[in-house]
Amino acid sequence: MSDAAIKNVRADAPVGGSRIIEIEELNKWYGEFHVLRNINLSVNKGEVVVVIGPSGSGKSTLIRCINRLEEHQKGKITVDNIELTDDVRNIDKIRRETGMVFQSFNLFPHLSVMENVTLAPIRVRKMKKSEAEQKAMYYLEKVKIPEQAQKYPGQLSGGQQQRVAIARALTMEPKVMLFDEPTSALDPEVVGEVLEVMVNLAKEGMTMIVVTHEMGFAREVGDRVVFMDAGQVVEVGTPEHFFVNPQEERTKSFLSKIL
Amino acid sequence: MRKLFVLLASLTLVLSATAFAQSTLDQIKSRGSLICGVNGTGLPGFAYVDSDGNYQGFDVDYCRAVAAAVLGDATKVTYRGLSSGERFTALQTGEVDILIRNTTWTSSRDTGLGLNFTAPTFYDGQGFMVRAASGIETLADLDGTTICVQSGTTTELNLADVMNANGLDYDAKIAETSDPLLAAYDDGACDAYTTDKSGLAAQRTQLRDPSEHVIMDVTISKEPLGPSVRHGDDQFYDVANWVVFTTFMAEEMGITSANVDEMLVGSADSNVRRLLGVEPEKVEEFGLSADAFYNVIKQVGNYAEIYNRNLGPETVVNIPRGYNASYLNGGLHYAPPLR
Amino acid sequence: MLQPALPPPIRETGFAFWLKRNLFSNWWNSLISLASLVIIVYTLISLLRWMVFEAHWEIVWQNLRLFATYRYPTELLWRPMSCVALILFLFGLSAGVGKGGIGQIVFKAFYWLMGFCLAITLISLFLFPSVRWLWLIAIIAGFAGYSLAKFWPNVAMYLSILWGLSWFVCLFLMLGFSGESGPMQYVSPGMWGGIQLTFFLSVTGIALAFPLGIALALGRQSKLPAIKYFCITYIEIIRGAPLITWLFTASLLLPLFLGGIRPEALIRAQVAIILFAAAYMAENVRGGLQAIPKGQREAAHALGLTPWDSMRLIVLPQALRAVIPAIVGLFIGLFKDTSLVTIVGLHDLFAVVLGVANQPEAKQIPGGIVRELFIVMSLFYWFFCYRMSVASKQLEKELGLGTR
Ligand SMILES: Nc1ncnc2c1ncn2[C@@H]1O[C@H](COP(=O)(O)OP(=O)(O)OP(=O)(O)O)[C@@H](O)[C@H]1O
Ligand SMILES: N[C@@H](CCC(=O)N[C@@H](CS)C(=O)NCC(=O)O)C(=O)O
Ligand SMILES: [Mg+2]
Repeated sequence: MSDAAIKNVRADAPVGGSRIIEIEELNKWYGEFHVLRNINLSVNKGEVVVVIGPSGSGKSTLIRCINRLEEHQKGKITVDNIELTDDVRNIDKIRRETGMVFQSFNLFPHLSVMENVTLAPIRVRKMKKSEAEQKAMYYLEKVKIPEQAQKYPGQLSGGQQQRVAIARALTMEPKVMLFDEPTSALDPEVVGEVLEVMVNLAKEGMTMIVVTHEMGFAREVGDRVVFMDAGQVVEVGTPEHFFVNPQEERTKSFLSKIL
Repeated sequence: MRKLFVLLASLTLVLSATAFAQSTLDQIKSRGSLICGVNGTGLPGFAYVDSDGNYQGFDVDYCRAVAAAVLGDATKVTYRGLSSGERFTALQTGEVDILIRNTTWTSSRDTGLGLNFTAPTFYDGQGFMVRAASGIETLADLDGTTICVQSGTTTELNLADVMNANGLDYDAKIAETSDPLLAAYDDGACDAYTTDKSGLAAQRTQLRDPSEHVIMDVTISKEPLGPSVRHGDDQFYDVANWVVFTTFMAEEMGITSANVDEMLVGSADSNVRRLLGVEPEKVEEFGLSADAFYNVIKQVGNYAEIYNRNLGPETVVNIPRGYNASYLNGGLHYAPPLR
Repeated sequence: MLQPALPPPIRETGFAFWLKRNLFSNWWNSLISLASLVIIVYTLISLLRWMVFEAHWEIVWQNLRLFATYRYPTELLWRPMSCVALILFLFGLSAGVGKGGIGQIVFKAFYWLMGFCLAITLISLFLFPSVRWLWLIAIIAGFAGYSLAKFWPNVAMYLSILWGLSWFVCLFLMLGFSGESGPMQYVSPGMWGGIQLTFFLSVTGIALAFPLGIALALGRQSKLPAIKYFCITYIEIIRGAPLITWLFTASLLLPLFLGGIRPEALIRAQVAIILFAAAYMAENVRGGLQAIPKGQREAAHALGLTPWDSMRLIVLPQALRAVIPAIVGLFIGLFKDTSLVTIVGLHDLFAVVLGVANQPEAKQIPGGIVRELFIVMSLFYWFFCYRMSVASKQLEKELGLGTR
């Protein structure tokens, strides 16, 4: 299949909302490999954008560019009106405003749950320890594991660990949350508890970009679904659009495999 | 590479020159102590640390003698234990003021290493140990015997040279290291055992019954041991040399640490009076105080005292004086006149 | 259908069975076993006879003080002994506050160290009046530290600072300040030696090599080529030659770099040991750093931690935990390798033993080599190295479980 056969569409947020993420003409290469090709994507405050696509299509790379875990070579990324440049101060500001949840949790194993959650507020937001712990307890309750605060990550189940990871990101009170396949590494029976937390978060109005194959989640809280393939955005629409009436061949064949 | 080498060498020279701008004698005086390089691992009788932590031995006594002369106090010595590998570097770089570490005086150490040796304090050399009961006393008595000797050493070569030169016949029993060889001798496999005398004495004490064995009064090679100092400081060299001569002279004149005070007031012999500083100018010409050599004798003793204390018949080491007797008794120690 | 559970087959057990199966299974094996038994018994009896009737243990007793502190002045022995007391006290504190598996390991180390010191205390009570009370005080300090920690567990927070301070205190105590007389007179490192020096060189070596090694390991991963290649070159050059070479080099070249100033032999040897250990430490730490998953750093960055903070708070603590056993191994190596300093004229335990073997008294002991001295020295090295390697094995197990 030639690249030209794949359409590249804009994934603009609906007009009227207030833009919080603005990605224009984003291009990224790994060496010779053109992994992201002219991506245009914007997100409004409070919006939940679900990114789907086959393995290797560049989903992770895209959201990792937003908080500069990956560097892009061309194009412009703006988060909360701050442009992502080589300026370290801008990078720090953006990272403070974006929380990220990883497929493999990435909790700090040498720190207790409480220390995991309060580390960044204390170090980055310069919060007092007592204040940070109060805040941490609030979010640990929100993800329904306040009783685990003194344990170490190694003593928790996968679902519990991922909820701690969400609490850890939330305690920084970010304006945007990025999720990279948060449930893919979990046993099927605990996927639900993590999704529940995410659904609640979405309903409270958090701006979220979620890479996931959980179409149930997309249907329940997703405002827009973005389908990516070969580093391009192929189709954009509401969840209903995707389930009822997908337009592109690539989209159809992908959905038929995962649904 | 070559440039780097030249650079390093000249740097060393410049640094050395600045470090030694002050004379050694002045350095010792202003420091208040003599830094003396001695045998770090210990050589019985010559230098070792006793169980109270004090350095003892023949070489050590010469450190004390120099300190007595320069500082008036034989205890003002800082000992620096040196391995045979680092001893010359330590002296060249000024880490020690004087090296007294059973070191053989050779031409290349004079020229190539830039040392100045004083008169030898101990004429070491290859000797023989035999059973007292065997009646072997002279080299000629060794004709037709079996001799234990370490292989691959100058010792083995020296033995062959001497025996050939004297037309004597012998069987050599050899081993690579000294321990099995000594054991073989102890078991009666050889009539005689040969190595350097300074080591011979210590090894004798390790035999089952040392009293059955004697060290023959025969020396077949030259290993003159003595203190050495750096080239280029003649004043300090003279001091060191004449401290050694003082111990010889005192023995020659019959002055001991016990009678030196009597001699100081009672002697009419102008040689004695010059040595002890009663007539001060000869001693003072060294840049020392008039009582410098008096202090050497008083605090450390004459050569015989030093020898007997560390190597004499009363000691474990017990090396016959042989060449190390005064010339008056047929030995090699002989002091030039102090005048 | 489920099979009925069967009892395990009956196995003969017991010593007699073991003997029969392993040593006397046929006539040939029985013959070999008997012959071996005769040889073993004969050897043991000769050894015992030698130990009880022939060995000259007095050469060991008479020189214990040289083994411990070499030529350190007798009237000032309270100074190194205060260091022993201080260290036992801190060890007691650490053992007292230790929790969990690692706490157990520290406690065991403390227990064995106290046992060793207690043995020495008993010996000095009878044989060495000059230090008998000092040893008693040191032992009491150890117990005091342990008890204090039980009453005041919060001291745990200050432990690392206390240990760090103790190094300076000990250095100061052992050196004194300049002066000819008085209780705090200067004692040149040339007078130090024996076990004191062995411990000083190896502990200081590992303690200072630690930060240096971390710096080198981080430098090796640096994006700046100058730093990176400097570190690589340094590490590879140092590791390319044995310690003895660097001891010689430091002994001869250091004065050159310092513009003709000749630091004490101890300092030169110590610098060589530190620089040497740092290169190995760096490689250990690098191994630890590489073992930390990339996700850890990414998570830290995503939270907004600065690169320095994420290194310091997230990556390094995990990497260092992972290399603790390797560091203990390095320390054991250093502890033994310090005996190389004899070649630059320092007197660690090994050099002191060689020196004692050259006392005229030692030459009166038949047999050439003074076995008594070397047996005691080997036991000393064995005791400490064995205890340390046991601790290191336990640590390895403990940390392996802890981090998963
Ligand atoms: N560090 C890297 N260096 C080189 N190529 C990379 C790197 N990271 C990712 N890639 C490649 O870039 C492409 C996109 O990777 P990415 O992880 O973004 O895909 P994805 O859509 O998230 O896939 P998955 O669903 O498997 O997570 C893949 O082909 C991958 O092999
Ligand atoms: N006199 C000889 C030998 C000196 C020498 O090294 N002697 C031996 C003892 S006989 C010694 O000190 N060995 C111990 C060491 O090298 O540290 C010389 O000057 O070269
Ligand atoms: Mg991915």
